[in-house]
Amino acid sequence: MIENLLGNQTLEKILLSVERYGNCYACNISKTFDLSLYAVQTQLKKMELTGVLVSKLYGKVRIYEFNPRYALLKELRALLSKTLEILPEKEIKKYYMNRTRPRLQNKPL
Amino acid sequence: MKIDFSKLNIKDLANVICDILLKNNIDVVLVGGACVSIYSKNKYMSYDLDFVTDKTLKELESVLNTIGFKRTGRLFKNDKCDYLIDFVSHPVMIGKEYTKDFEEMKTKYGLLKLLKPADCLKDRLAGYFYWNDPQSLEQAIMIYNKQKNKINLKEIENWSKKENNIEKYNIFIKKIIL
Repeated sequence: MIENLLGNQTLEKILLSVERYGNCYACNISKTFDLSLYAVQTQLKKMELTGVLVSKLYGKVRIYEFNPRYALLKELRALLSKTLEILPEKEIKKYYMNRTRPRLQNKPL
Repeated sequence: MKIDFSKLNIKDLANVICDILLKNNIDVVLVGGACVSIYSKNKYMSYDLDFVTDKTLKELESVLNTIGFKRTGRLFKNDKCDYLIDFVSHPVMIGKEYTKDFEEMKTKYGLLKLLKPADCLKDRLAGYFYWNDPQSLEQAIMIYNKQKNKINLKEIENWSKKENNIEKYNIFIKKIIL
């Protein structure tokens, strides 16, 4: 929906995921959207270099979230939030309704 | 009473489990997704029943075995029904708040103790507040839509302030007004 504005589909999915879940990591985005891991990592690094996202290493996983110091953060998040509101219901259910609250280890879904 | 476990819905099953445990002096309270199923009138479907208790699994096992529920690790399962029974540690916490005030429902299967509708809604909002979980927000909306007359939004707002999450509470309000 805003891929043309952002320049590519991978970046759109990354930013919408961070808006929805508060953070993301490359492998998860790659699996969820069936995108190449390399393409996702490239976009994440680009966003980190431009100051939109910041990252932290948890064990071996690099977690990305919005940079609270990014000057246009409020405006960017408003755009992403609006986009999530108007995305087709099917797309929301498939990609943006994943469970993020904890679940005890080994408890079946 | 002879019970056919394959035909019980989640509320009736919770009722059977709760009642037999209470009758054996084991205090339990139903929490989690099963309460959401009950209060959302099955708009949300949970397949596990989480009870809070301060008793040991061994104590629970001796009672639940009598109605055909076998223990695997922490979970109990009866071959004739799809639901899993789990016991989570005491006490019942709603976000950072501790509660002792529960809803009690009496049916043909006996007594069921569970979270109050407002606490069930707060519990889901807490999932959204602390883990950004979109499913929790959706479930909170489902509960509100079916339990409006039992939920005081001012109370939810005050609780959200105490949880330092008034901004996310406002998103919830925006969604229930839409």
